[in-house]
Amino acid sequence: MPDFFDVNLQQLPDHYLTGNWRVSDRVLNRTDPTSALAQATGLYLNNNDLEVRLPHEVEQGRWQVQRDELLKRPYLELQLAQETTRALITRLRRSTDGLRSQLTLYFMSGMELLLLQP
Amino acid sequence: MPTLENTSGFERLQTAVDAAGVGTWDLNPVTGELLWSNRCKELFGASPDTHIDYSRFLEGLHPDDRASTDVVVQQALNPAGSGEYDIEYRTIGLEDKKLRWVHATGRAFFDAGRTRAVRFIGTVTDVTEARRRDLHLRRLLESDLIGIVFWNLDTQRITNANEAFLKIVGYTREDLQAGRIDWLRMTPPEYLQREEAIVREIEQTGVQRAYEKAYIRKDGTLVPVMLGGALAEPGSREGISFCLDLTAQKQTEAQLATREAEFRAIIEFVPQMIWLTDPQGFHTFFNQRWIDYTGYDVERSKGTQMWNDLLHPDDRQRARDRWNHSLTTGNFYEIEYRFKAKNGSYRWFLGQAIPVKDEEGNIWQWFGSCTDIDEQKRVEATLRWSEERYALASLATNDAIWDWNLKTNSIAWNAAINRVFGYAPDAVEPTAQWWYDHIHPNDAERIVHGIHAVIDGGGKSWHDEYRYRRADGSYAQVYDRGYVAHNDEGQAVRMIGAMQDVTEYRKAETALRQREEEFTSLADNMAQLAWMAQPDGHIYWYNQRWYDFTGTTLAQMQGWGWEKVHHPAHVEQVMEFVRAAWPAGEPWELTFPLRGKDGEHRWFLTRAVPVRDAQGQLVRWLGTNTDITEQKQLQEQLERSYADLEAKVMFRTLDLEHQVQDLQRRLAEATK
Repeated sequence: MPDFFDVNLQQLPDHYLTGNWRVSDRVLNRTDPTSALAQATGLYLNNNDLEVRLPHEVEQGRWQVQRDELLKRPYLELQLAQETTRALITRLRRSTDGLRSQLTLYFMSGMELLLLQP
Repeated sequence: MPTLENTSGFERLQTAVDAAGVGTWDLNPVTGELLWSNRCKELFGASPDTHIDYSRFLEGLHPDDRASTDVVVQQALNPAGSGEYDIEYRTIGLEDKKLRWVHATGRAFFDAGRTRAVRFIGTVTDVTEARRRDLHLRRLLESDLIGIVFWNLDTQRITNANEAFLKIVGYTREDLQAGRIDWLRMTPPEYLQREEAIVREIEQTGVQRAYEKAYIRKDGTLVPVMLGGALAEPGSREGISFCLDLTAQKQTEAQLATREAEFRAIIEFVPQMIWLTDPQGFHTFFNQRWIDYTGYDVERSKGTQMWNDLLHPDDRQRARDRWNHSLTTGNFYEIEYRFKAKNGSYRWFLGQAIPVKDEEGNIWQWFGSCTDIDEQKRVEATLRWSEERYALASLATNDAIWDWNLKTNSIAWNAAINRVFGYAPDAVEPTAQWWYDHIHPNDAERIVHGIHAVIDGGGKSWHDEYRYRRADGSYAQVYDRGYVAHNDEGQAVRMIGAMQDVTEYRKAETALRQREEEFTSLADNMAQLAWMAQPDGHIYWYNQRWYDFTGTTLAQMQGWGWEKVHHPAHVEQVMEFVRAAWPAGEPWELTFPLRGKDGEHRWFLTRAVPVRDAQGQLVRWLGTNTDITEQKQLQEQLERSYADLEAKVMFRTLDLEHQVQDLQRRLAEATK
């Protein structure tokens, strides 16, 4: 098993976030369970294009990285047809060989997603 | 009273004969009447009134002489003979029982027809003294104690000699009888002149005073002799000399001379200082050793002053008292004192002296010697110190020290054999057998075989452990070791050793081993990894947990091998920390990850405490590594969760926060 390390989020390169993410775990809290993101099985981030994979379809959107001086870490701004939301990057872990990543996102709705690559 | 006038011629003759000591006798063979003069009776030890006849005459003769005398008498009375009678016989003293030698002479008178003897008259003379002298001379001649020689000045020949003389000069009796012994030819040339003087002296004085000369023996060798003699009678040309063989005496003299020379040499070269004093203690002689040692010659050393001056001041009075005592009593003198050498140092000497006495027992000299015992005194002092030290050491130790004489098989023990093993002093027999007999039967053969293998094999030391019986019958566990001493020929002659009762030690050792096993078991099975290190941090022991976790060995880990299982990102920090911690000697704690045998790092809390001895000296470090990976992860998770929560709250209220900041900014601007 390769060692994982926590990426310093204050110096996070944006390209660490791109790629095809698989939803490994989710905590909905008070999020509408019918929303696209609450049902997503995966996310694909490329440039500013966003694909949200749902069980029976794929919803297209846009995304970008945002940084705020009040926050010590970056957050994502996600725009879908039905909703626009923000997700705080609470943790990004990468394997020392860079082939594996674990990304934890915290949404404004209180939902928390654990995404894995591959 | 008879007078010359009224005395007949016969009576006057008889009186003269009596006055000459001659006895007369008159036998009538026809009637058997025998008349003896009083002198005659006297020579037969009979009183004047004793009646004498022929049978009484024979009775008065020595039994060995009776028959022969009777034959001679009968021959004299035989008319066919000459009638002459001349004989010597012994009388036994008819009444006074004295033995006498008597010379009897006589003549028988015959009848006209010479048909028979009619009268037999004669005299008797006492020749006892002459016979005694003859006897003595004969005994002297025959005894061969000294050589006796008869000579003739005219012929210069030895006319007669006894066997002793012939033996001295190496000639035979045949040589003597053939006249082949010529004393001048037997005299070496260097003696001839003196010989002539001696002959002249004999001729003038009749006496040859004893003098020494040498004879040339028949075989040509020389024999030293002493001669002395005299003419047989004044004016005679014949004489007699005694001759003593001086060979033995000369050899003795030569030996004495040699001995004296040897003695002188000994006196001069013996290591002792030799001295002589007169009976009053006045020194008269010192040998060369004295001179060499003191630097003073005999002349300067004579007397008493130099002697006293050279004595150590502390010894003078004692020496004077002892010497005066010997001079007074004549007792053997012996003392130890110090004499000053010519270099000014003092050395110890043993002074001894014996009195030399004359035939009457009077002391005429003291013979003394001084033997250098300085080294001996030092050795004695050292030995005394050594013996005292040995005695004290024997008291101080509980080792039973033994001294085995391998020649006699005797063993001497110190008192510890009594003290440690409980034996009474008289219960310990000084033999090797006693030692054998008290070894546990199951150990005896092994021990005896082992010790003899060392002794017989030329070994120098031996040690073994066995059970030895105490006086109460119980057995002590003893550790015995000994050393073999050899003589100059390399033979083992002695063995000295010490037997130590290690019973309690062995018990403690067993208990210690048990405790160690328990400790090891505990240490190996405890939850923590554990280790021990030398004061400088050199780790020499890890518990089994360590090896189980890391998959390493002691060889890999010993010393500073632990670096190999540290995380590369932490090892430098750890090294820096412990480099300061070891010399500080204080307890310390540090948390760092260690790599397990599966390659995964786990976090450990390491605690190390210093262990000190009674003097406070750091002797080792004891350390444990407690696996805190779970706690660490939990803590990190908690910290992260808290941080995440903070961030989440900030994220959720970010717009609000911006509005607050904006209001604050504006408020601030408004209040400027």
